[in-house]
Order: sequence, then C-alpha cells, then structure tokens
Amino acid sequence: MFWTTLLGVLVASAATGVALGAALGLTGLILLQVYSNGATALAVDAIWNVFNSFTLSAVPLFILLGEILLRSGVSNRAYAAFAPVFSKVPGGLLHTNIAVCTMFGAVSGSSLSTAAAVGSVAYPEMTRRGYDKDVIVGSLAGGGTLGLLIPPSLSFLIFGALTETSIGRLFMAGIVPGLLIGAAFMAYIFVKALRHPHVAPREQVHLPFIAVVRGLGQVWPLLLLILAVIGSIIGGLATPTEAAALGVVLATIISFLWGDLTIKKLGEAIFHATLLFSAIGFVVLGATVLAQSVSILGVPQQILNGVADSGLDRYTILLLVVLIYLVLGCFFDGLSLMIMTLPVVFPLLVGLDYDPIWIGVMITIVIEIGQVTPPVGLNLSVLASLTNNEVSLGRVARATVPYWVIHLLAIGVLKLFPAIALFLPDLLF
Amino acid sequence: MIVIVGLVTTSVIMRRVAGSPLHITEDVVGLLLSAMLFLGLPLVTLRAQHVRVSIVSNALEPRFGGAVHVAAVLVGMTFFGWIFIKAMPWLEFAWQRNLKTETARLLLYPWMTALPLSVGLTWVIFAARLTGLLERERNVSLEALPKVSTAETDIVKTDS
Amino acid sequence: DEWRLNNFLPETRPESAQIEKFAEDVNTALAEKDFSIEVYHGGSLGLPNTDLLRVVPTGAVEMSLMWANYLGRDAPALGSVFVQGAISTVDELTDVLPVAQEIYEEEYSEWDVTTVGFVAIPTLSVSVFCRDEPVNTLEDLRNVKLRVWAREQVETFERLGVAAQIIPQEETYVALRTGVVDCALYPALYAKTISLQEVTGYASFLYPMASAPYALGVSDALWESTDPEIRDAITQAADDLWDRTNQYDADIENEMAARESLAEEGIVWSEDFPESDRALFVEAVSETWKMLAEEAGGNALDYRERMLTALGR
Ligand code: NA
Ligand code: NA
Repeated sequence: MFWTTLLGVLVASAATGVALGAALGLTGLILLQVYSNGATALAVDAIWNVFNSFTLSAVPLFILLGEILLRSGVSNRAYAAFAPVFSKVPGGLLHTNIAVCTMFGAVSGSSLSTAAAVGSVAYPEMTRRGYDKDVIVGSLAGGGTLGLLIPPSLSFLIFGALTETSIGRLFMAGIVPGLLIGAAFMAYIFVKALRHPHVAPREQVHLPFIAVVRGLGQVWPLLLLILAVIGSIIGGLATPTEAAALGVVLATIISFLWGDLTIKKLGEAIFHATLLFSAIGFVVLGATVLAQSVSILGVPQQILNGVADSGLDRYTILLLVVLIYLVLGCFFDGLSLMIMTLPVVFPLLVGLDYDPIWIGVMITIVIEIGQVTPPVGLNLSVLASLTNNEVSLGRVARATVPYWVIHLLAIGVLKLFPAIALFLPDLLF
Repeated sequence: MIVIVGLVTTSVIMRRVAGSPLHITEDVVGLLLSAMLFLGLPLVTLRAQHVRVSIVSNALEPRFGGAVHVAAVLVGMTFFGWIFIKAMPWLEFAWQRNLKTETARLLLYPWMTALPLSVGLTWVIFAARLTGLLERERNVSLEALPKVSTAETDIVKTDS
Repeated sequence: DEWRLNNFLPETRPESAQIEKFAEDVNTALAEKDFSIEVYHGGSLGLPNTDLLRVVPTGAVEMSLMWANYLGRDAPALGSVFVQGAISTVDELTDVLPVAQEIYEEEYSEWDVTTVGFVAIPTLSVSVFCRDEPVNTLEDLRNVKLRVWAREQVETFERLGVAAQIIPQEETYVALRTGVVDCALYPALYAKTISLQEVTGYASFLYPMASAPYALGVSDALWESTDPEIRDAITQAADDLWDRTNQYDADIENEMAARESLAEEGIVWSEDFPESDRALFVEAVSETWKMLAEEAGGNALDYRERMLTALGR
C-alpha cells in the first residue's frame, strides 16, 4: 500500500513534466499526510535544515569557480593547450574528465561538488569542440561519483562515526578501488571511442612534441589554481568547504590577470551560478521532503530486517542487500540512504563475517550508484542543470548506465578479491 | 555569493593569521546559502530552467499538450501552496519565540521569511502560467533552449 | 500497535544497548498485548536532534530520546540547565539530579511532551588531544587552535584567552589530520568513535564533566490515549532503565581503560592540567552558565537558582 502510493503519486506527478523537485516534494507531502498522522509540517523543517548548512555551500562555490574560468576564457585556453596532448588517444579529452574528477575527488568530500566543479567547465568547452553531448555528460556523472570513494570522503567519515570503524583505514581502503574504477572508466571511454569515433572528434591539429610542451606551458595559472586549492587543504590552511571559497578568490584574481574577466562578466557568472544552484537545490529540496517522509516510517530498516531474519546464506544476503540499495537508490540521495540503513546493514553484515572496512567500501560504492540512478540521482540533476536541460535528465541517466555497470562489476570484483581494498590499510596500520 | 566567499576567506585568514577564529561564519554562511536558494527559486521557475523528467510528457505532447500542461502546473501549485500554508505557523513560531542561531545568536525569523516569500512567489508564477498571464513553459524540445554558457565570451586564442 | 523509538545515538554506544534492553523489557511485559516498541538507532529515522521539540509533540514518531542541551534553539531555558563542566563530581551530580529531572519534566510538559523516563549519562573526563606536541597548561593552550563541540565551551575558553572553534564531529578527523586545528577537546571514552588516535599523538586530562540525563519523551495526546496497562509497563521498564544507568562506580575504571587502550595505539598521555588551571576553568564555566541563563531569560534564571541551591553554592 505504502509503495503503491509512493510509486503512483511520484510517477503520475513527474510524468506531467513539472519540475522534478515539485513532483518529489508533493509525493513526500502526501506520504506524510497519509502515513504520519498529517505531520506535513515536518517537511518545512526538513527543507530549512538542508540548506542551512555550511558544508553544502561548497557546491555553489565550485559552480561559481567554474563559471568564472569559463567566462574569462581561462578554461578555453587551458583546453586548447591540453587538446593536442590527447589528439592521438581515442576518447581524447573525455579522459581528462575522469582524471580531473579523480583529482578533485581527492580534495573534495562529496561527489556533488566534484560533478559541479568539473562539469561546469568541461561541458561547455567540450561541446564547443564537437564531442558528443551525451558521452561528455555520462563521463562527468560517472567520474563525479569518485569523489566519495577517494579520500577525504564524506561517506567514509559518516560511516566511521556511526560504526566506530577506523576512519584512517577506511580512507586507505578507498584509494585503490577508487583508482581502479577510474581506470575502468577510462578503458570504457577508450573502447567506446574506438567503436564510435564520432563521439570524440580527433583534433585536427597535429603538432610537434615541442609545440605541445610549449602549449602546456600556457596552462600554469590553472595548475596553480588547482595546486592552491589542493594545497590549502593538505597544508591545513582550510577545510574542503573553505577551500572552495579560497578557490573562487584565486580564480577571480587569475581570471582578471590572465584571462579577460570584467566586472560585468563576474556579475554574469554570479547570476548564472545562483540560478544553476537554485535549479539543483530544488531537486535536493524535493528529494529531502520525500526522504523525510519515508525515513520517519523506518521503511528501509523494516525491509532490511526482513532480510536479516530470512536465514539465507551470506552470499545471498549480500546480494539482496546490494539489490535493496539499488532500488532504494532510485528514491534517495546517497548519504541520507546510508544514515537510514547503516544501523541495520552494518551489524547484519558483520554478523555474517564480512570485514567492517570492506563493508564501508562496498556501501560507498552502492551509494555512488545511488547518486546516478534516476529519478533522485543528484549527480544526474547537477549535470542536467549544467547543460541547461540541453541533455535531459533521462538522457543523462542513459548515458551513465555504463558507469553504473562498472560500479556493479567493481562490487563483484571486490567480493572475489577483498584484498584490493584491504591490503593498503593492512599495510599502513 | 560574494558575501559567502568574503566571509569564509576572512574566517580562514583570521584563524591563520590573527589566531582568533570567527564564530559567526558557519551560521551566517548557512543562512546566506538558504537565502540565495530561496531567492533563486522563483527566478528559475520564471525562466523555466528546472530539472524535469520529460520522456512521458514529450510523448503525450502532440495529442494532449494542453492537458499535460495544466496537470504539471497543478502539481506545482499544490506543492508550493501546501508548503506555503505549512510555512506560516513555522515562521510565526520562530518570530514569537525570537529564535536565534546556536552559535552566532542571530535572530532567525528575518532569514526564515525568505522561505514562505519564495514559495509564495513561485506559486504565483505557476498560477500566472495557468491563467495565461505568463506564456506557457516552453516544452523541452532539446536543442531549443538557450545555450548553457552564453559562450559569446571572446575566445582568446592561444598562439599554438 | 508498534511504537517507533527514535534513538539519535549510534548503535555502538553503551546507552543504546540499555535502550534496546528497555524496549525488550516492555515487549516482554506486554507479550500478551498487541503492542511493541522498535528502536531505531543512529538517527536513522532522519530526525535532527535539534528539532525534536517540533516533532515529538505532533506524534509523528511515538517515542524519542531527547537531550536538553541539543534543544537550546527552540527552548533556550532547556539549554542552560546543565552547562558543560559546571558540575564535576558524582556527589554534586547526585545532589542536582532530582532537581534537574523535575525541571526537565516541567519544561517538556510545556511543550506537550510527557517524560516517561530518563537515561543517565556516565560522568566523563574531558581531555585535550593534540597532533604535534603535548599541551597541558592553559598557557600552552592559548598558542594553539582548539576544536570544541558546543557554544558554551567557546564562551568559556574565550574567557580564558583560548581560541576555540566549533567543528562538527564528522569533520574533526580531517581538521586534525590537515592541521586546520591543532588540538581537540574530547572524552577519551569516545575518542575511538572518530578515530582520534590516528590523527593525534598526545593527550592530557583537563576537566571532569557530569552531563544532563537523556529523557524519553512521548506526545501528551498519545500518552493520554494509551491503555493504562501499556503505560504501566513502559514506566516500569523506564524506572529499571534509570536504575541501570544511574551508576557511576565504574566511570573512573572505564576512563582509565579507555586511556590505556588509546595509549596502546600510540597516544602519549602527559600530566593532567594543573589544579590552578582547572580552578580558572571552573570559574570561567560558572560565569558562562550565568551569562547563558541571563541570555535565555524567562524560566532559565529560576532553573539556575534551583540548581545552585541543590548544589549548595
Ligand atoms: Na573525496
Ligand atoms: Na538515486
């Protein structure tokens, strides 16, 4: 009955083509009204709480950073310099998306910030260069998820605190799987570009090696920016959230000096970044109301309790847990899903003799998948917004399917070879 | 947004250089972020730049365009109307009790007003679409929307 | 009926096991009835603990653990009954507990919440954990960046000339690892929750802390409409819960065991902060308490009086 209401209202309202946030939010309100004693006032508190957050401020700031680089022509110069390097590799600049996402993942704790930061620059630049829009967006949505697996990672921090497992070991355990998944993404892009060369046009310029190097010399301001942002975090100057603000200041300075940023363009960048953030924020808002309406009933825990009591063997239970995460991932954003389910899943899997650190890595991967499953896949929404709906949510989702499959394969591989995740923490702690 | 950037930067500098962290930063940044979102929401609605699921509505468009449009507007109006009604007592509560933020002790209700204001305004925009005062949201035929990066920025060519 | 009990503590905390036991007791006592309590740990019902005064009265969740010190935004008077560090010994704590419980019951009832029971918190020893070098005097503490977890601590340390900054629990690990802060205030008993032993090398005991008890709240309307037999079973189990948790004999022992286990993982325990520093700290705390009560106004001043009387101060 509950699920019928949820699915019925959600599908019917979203199908009208209304803003997704409104469809999600209305579904949540109706669930609260019917199943929680009319407690719809909870929705208002939930909406207020989610944006009243210091950590979330990194998302609009990274979007702004991208907008500034874009409008001042700095990012264009950088891409022009990078393009020849990749001119001989099938997939070309698509690989930079994965590489930069990995690098960004290493400084930011959230996959939303990663997708926002990289996407706001890469999408316009690469469209201009004739890359296939769907393929660009897919690589960004997939690459963005790496932000959760590669430390520092919000999901490991929350997992560690809720289960009293070592955060340091979790961080170490995320590195190798994160890099391997990143490499698998690149391999996929390589194959895809070999078979369908039109998705990634080979740049016509074929330059001698020395010219390529000279071109690369042009990108030092951008490298400086990246180094400064990463350095401020590693050097203990700033937290990842604060680093986003420092990055904006630096980007503005660099763009004034080296690009052609004007006050007017800066104003446009701010305006546009605000609009983008609001469009994304509205989806977050609706998703929050829906999540609140379901989590307060304890529905996910009840399902998982059912699995726990089923008396099945440990492999079947693991498989069921992953499946449940995949389904729930359609309706919830990754981190709220983790908080809802962990109190049941963690003791369940530990009781079946799975390693706590391994569970942390596995859960982070399924949560990454949740970030890219529609309709509530926040990475997808960020990218649909960044393209101004040129690539619709549905198309972003379809373009992301291969990355989704790679994640699933990664879980299988980790199940077979847990050492991939565990050898590094064992080595170091 | 400028204020957020300024505030966070100052806070980092204060902690590092002056050794005395700003205690209001986190509270104020959270509030500014909310204000920014609630300000942006009606604008995004006005410019019809929302993230949406368009597969079904595009398929229905040729035959039931009008009906689908009305249904979409009604979903929007119900949601925003509902939240608006619930937000009034919520705001009143904060106002009567003079609620303040935990750390910076800032009065909350002036900031909280942004929520009902934004939601109410968005409702009006939906209502205007229903009555025809505003033109219908353009249907998401894919390439018809304006380019993402008003990318007419003069592209500086590198000399390579 | 099945009642959901919202427990915001992680399942790994000893208190959570006690709450679980409470639910079991109720369920056993009412095995014949169509009634049970199901505990949801770790905030998994998605309710922020600062918002509970908005949620519990509506009956949207049937029962919830509540902690007065989290509820200061909505009810400032609740937040200033117990101030971190103002009550330190077990004797002082036993003196004020009956008064404090009375105050909480009164205040919650003004919010249409019935207090069905309390869960006592062990007395804690709060230490300063530092990454690079041992810090065990206020003078040294003035030269480092210190992480704290509550506003009242910021106020208190400000009085002592220490730059303290609130950093949420989940960000403390990274903040210490990267050096955003040099030291963090934390009870050794819970230090492993956020893996402090991996990012700090030194620790010194600063002050003992007795905490306000957690309360178990149910909305008035729901409580009144509940079958008296069920209510009796709940109250009975809650009394037992209080008796089980209101024990402080093992606190010191547990603290020492926690320190030892941290030491095994490489934390070096230095001398405690000197008595004179601790006296300064207590003085600063009591000024903060006064200030908070005045700021909260209303019943808060009366509550403080009652607490001070019970303490004989
Ligand atoms: Na990361
Ligand atoms: Na999802």
